[in-house]
Amino acid sequence: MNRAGRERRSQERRGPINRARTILPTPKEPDPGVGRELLILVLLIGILALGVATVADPATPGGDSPRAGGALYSERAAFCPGLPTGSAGVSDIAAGSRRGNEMGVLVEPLDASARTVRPEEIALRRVDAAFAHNVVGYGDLLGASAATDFSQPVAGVAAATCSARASSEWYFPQGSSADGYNERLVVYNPFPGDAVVNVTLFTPQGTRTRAALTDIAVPSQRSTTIALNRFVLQHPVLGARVVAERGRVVAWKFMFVRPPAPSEGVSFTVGAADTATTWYFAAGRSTDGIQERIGLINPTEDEAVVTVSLITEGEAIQPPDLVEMTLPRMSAMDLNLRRHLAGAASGGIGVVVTSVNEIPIVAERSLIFDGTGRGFASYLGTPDPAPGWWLGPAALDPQSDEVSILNVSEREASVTLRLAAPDGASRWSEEVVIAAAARVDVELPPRAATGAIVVQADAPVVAERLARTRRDASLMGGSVAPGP
Amino acid sequence: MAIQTGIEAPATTPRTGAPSVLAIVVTHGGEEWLRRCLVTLAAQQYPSFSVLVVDDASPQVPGQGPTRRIVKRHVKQLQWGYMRTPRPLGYGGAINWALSRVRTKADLLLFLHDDVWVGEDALTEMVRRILEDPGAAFVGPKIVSYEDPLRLEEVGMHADRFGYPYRGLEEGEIDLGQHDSRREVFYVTSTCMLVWHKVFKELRGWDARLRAFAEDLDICWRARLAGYNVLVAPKARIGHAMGLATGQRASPFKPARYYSRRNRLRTVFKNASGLRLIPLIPQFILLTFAEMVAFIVLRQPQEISNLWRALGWNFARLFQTLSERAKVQRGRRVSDLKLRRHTIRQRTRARVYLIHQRTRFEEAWGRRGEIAASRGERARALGLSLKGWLGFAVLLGLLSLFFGFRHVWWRPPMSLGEMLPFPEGPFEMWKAYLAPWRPAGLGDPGVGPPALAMLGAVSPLALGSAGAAQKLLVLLLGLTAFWGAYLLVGDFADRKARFAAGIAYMLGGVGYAGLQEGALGALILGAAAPYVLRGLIRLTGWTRPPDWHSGRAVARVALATGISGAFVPGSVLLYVLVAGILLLLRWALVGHRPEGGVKVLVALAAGWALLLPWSATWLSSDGGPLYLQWSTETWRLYAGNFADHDILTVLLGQTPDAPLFFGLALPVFGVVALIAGAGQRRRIALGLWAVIVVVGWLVGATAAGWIRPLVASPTEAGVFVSLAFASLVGLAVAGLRLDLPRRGFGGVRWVALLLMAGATIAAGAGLVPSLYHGEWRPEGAPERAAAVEQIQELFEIEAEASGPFRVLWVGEGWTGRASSARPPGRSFVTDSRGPQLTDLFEDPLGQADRELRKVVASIDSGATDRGGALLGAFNIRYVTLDRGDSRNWLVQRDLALVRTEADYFLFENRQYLPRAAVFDRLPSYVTLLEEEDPRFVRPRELREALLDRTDISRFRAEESDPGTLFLAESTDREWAAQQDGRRLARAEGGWGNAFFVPQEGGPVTVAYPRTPPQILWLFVVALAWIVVIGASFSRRPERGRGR
Repeated sequence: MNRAGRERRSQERRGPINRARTILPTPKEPDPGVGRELLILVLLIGILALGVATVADPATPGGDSPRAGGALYSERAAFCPGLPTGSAGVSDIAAGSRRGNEMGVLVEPLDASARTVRPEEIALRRVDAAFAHNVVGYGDLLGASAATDFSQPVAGVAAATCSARASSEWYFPQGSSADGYNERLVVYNPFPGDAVVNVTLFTPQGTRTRAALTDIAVPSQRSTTIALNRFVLQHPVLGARVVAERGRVVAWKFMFVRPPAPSEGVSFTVGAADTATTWYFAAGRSTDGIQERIGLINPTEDEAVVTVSLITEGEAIQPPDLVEMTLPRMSAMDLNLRRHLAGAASGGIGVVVTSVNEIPIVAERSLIFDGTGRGFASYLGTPDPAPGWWLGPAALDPQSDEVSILNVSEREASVTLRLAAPDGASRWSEEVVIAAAARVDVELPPRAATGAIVVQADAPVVAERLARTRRDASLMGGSVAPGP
Repeated sequence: MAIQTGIEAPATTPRTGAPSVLAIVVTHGGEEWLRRCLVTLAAQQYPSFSVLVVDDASPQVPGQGPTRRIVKRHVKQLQWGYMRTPRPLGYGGAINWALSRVRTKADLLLFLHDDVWVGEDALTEMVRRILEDPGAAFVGPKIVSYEDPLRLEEVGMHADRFGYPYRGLEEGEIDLGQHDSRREVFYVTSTCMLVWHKVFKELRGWDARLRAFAEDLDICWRARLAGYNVLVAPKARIGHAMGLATGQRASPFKPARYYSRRNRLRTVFKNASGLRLIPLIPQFILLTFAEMVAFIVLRQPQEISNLWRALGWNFARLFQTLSERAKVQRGRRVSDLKLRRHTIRQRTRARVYLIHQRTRFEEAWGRRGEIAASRGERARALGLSLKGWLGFAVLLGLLSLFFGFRHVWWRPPMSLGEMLPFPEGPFEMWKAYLAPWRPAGLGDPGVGPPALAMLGAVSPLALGSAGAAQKLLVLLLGLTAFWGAYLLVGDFADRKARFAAGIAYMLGGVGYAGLQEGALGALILGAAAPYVLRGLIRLTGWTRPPDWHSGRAVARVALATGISGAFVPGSVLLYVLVAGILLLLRWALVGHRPEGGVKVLVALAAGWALLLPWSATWLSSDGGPLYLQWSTETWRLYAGNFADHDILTVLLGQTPDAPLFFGLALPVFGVVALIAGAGQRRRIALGLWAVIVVVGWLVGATAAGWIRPLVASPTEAGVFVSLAFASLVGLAVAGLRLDLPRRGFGGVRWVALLLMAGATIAAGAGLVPSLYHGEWRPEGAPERAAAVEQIQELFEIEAEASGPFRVLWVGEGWTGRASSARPPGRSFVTDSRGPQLTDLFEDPLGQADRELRKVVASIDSGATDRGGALLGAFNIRYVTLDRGDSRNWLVQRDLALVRTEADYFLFENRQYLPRAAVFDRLPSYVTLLEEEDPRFVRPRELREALLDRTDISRFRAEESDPGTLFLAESTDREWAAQQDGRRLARAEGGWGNAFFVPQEGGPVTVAYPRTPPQILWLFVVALAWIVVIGASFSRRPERGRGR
């Protein structure tokens, strides 16, 4: 192609627009020369370097919303269980301020209006145990618990915190359908709109599902009892998960124990709404005549590696065979601590269950009194140590009553225990100092039996309350309260 | 005043049996045609007529004899006269002036233009025609082409209700006698008309104030109102040269559009009946606005000012016109209804208008043939240049774009941050903008922010489809951004370099981060910024092409500033900053005194002014967007957005967030632009680097909390960074292609080539995986978008069944980051349509919003589980909750959980108060919200009547018992309620509005009125936009053609 042809083709490629556009500098502009440009460049580099050198921490974010228009509204309910069908007993509901302030308390559906509860006072109401109740608190953080004296199907006592939570998932790691164990789940729907739940069972071999345990309707404002023994064969280790496919619910586990089980008694506990990687238990025992068992479930699709550590009043014990145990996916496990301790410690022990590979699990602990005294008590641990706890009465008429406190921090904790009694007049308090990673049991005076204990510490602790009657034992955790 | 007459006595002739006629020829610079006019007039065989020539102050042409001599020469055989007005008075004014100075007993007056020839016996035919009909006052001839008597020009005229003329003839129609049957018409033109002298006097002559145009319509209309007929004599033929219309002679009354529009409005105002006038005047004004828009399309923005002047003239002479009108209407003998048969329908008129405009459109934009040829040539050139590997690359690029943006194109509309779905329906956005009350959130007084009006332009293009509108918007923004960057470097680089800059900008951080964060404001700022920067570069003198025009540049900068400011108010400040950098740097580089600063300020101020009155509230403590960014209460919420950004992230191309390697490649391109470029290219590269460094400082200082945020997010701040880097990419390519070969020193060349190769590979390594993964999408999409679509369907069904309600959306998954158009907050409220673009710029600082935020905070903190009752007081029926932190929401005892999904919960509140209803008393929770203590309350409200929403700002019930009307819209004293036409007294309504309904009775309404100042503002703002758009796209004067 000759030159003219190339030019023509080049012009064709550029097209009319490109031909029309010309790159023109500003007319009559003098060339500033490279000197000024270099100067500007150096100046820019200098500014840049200065900027890089003074990179500062970002501004502290001030929340995620503009200010609201005043003090918050304060009205909050706690949900207390009704007894499962086929059981009978009497219940006392205790409620008061977790901060120790004056507040209004109303028990639905009994009360038409709220009652004012003074500082250091609790409201104690005898209720019809057959039905669930909502305890509503106005003006402050409410603590509420229910203590029940069962007469059927097994005589015994049990207590549990009334749940201020609702969730679409609840976990119960420790259960059994073996001979002598009668496990019942009570699912309460305190909300508008019906709920539908499914129950999945966990055994050491994996999960078990039953058609009869799916799509169970829980009408609004009603409870439904699920008697697990009716649906499964005998499984000595049986965890459970309740999942609300629709709506959200509160779920409790009631366990009635009698021979041929090793002991006799009743326990009930609210389920765990969340999984966690660490679980703490304060009120354990390692003495003759008491079996302490830890139940675990791994509801995830990954294998968990679990270590169980024990804490006595003076030292931390790590039995070698409780280190890095494998908990397969979707399975349950039961550990008898008496077997692992084998006389290594005596008296009270606290337990810390840790999933070392960060797979979330759920843990529950039960105390089986199989010696001279009889009784059965169980309660879920807590994954969240806190500086304050509100512990309602653990039994209606206890022979002994004590609070166990586990200091999970790395420093010494000063702890104050105060009594909030139904009459508002009884005064009792005690201060204890707990070494780092240690625990202590505080015996409560008889007048504290019907009152709540407000625990306040200057470090995160875990507090539980254990009461014994002639026939049974009762163990309960508490509601988290603000620290001092 | 000197009057020159050829005859001293009045021009009359003695009676000969036939009525005497005085022919009055008005001339103005029409010597070219006057001779033939007079010759043909003199040749008329009519027995009794004389001629008076009125010279309307024709300009004296050197070398040409006086007009009087021409007259004398050609009509000396007749009785004739000649008069000259002292100044141009217009056609009617000149006749009035002449008749006031001569005495005549003529029975008939014949008015003639000077650019006509009069056909044989035309006068006789016209007189015969007027004598045939005793009711006739005016008779006109058949008017044909001056040069070609076979072509018809006019056979009488009709008009529509607005006075627009209608000939009823095709263009160039041949006269075959087809219109000879037409007898009665609405009016005849002043080209030639015969009128009874006595009627002319009765009508008080011409309206001299009209000067030119429409004066014939006016006088004939008045005659018709007085009960006279207007006829055509088809046998009388007049040839008309139309010297004025065809531009063959000058007129002292220019511009024609101004005179025609103003006279038409005056004519309608004078002659239309009062009842008809009420709708007519607003319609006329609206039509004028529509015409203004049409002139923009026709690239004749200067005509807009003529229309505006015409309106102003009439407004200024309103009282005089009213006085004239009173006189006309006093003599009215015929109703408008009877005249309807002579007026044409709007449909006919619209058809003619469109045909006419099509021609003008072609004139404005080039003939179709030329356009087709031009397009063909371009396509051929493009086809040639896209052969081979380049074509393959472009094809691959396009496919990659479609693949990379697949979540935008083929998924439900995005719903995050500001990137919200459009409402269904083509005009919903505009309705929301124009409504006097904004239903967004808990309600705010209108007029809405201009952003709504701008986005409203997209819906009609998408035929009202919400899904298509959002996709179209993203596509338009992407293309606009590409084209803007392409043009930005157009003054410095060749086509390939411009293409590189366009691609780098379009796929850069603004689009990437903007779509991921749902930052619509940043995307729009990103699309507008190249045009502003280009304007700033030119205004500050860095470059000025030969056809550059400062006025147009100012208008374009103002326009782009207005568009971006409507979404990101802080962008105006960024523009000022960048302009300052450019001015200073140019001064430092060239040493000239900075120039163009004033023009820049004018342009930016004009951009701000385009957004009035909304832009006046930017710093208002009632939730103004800039106030929010700077106030002590909220600035940290915005500064928190900048937490992961500083000068280093800006420098490394990670602010705004971009694909990692792509971002890292950008500064390398910038270095190449500096070392490879020469002359002006290197200087502008330095300027762009200065912009990057300064914005980097700004971002770092904002993140550190040293200064309050100028803009709401790093993505918005990073628009100029991204643009500067994209331009540097273009300059690097241009430097490599155009400068480096000329410079010839080896080391730099190789370094530049190596850096360029490395940067290109890095950019590809960043872009390809991102495109493959389809990362140009909001976080959580498409699942979240599908969820919103499902929820909205549910809400729509419920709203249809039970009336309007509100929805509370809680969690970052819905709110996204705080931005200019979406104030910070963990939650927001929408109506039952769900989140839509009409919710932008909701005021978060109103008292009602604070109350609601308190409720949400109470629930979030776990202080209360009575959320249903508390939220229900705000008409909130549903709560859509992000699963992130739902613990305390799940315990709400009066919220039913109706849907549990993987990433959200949907609660239904069955205790919600209706939007507007009459209760036995003010609902308890409204009162208790006010008292800040909801304890011990069990709401038991007794509802008397439910009000239906009939409009955005109007509710109505057919009847009601006594009680308290509660309207769940934020308190505003302008809300007014009525029952049976009686205004209801206001009651204490807490966060909302309450009224006492005293008795059982008829219809109850509550409405928010639209105020006249609002309407006036809308007109003024619309006009301002029309003028600026017109000025921005005014037609360039063609070279080689005189103005």
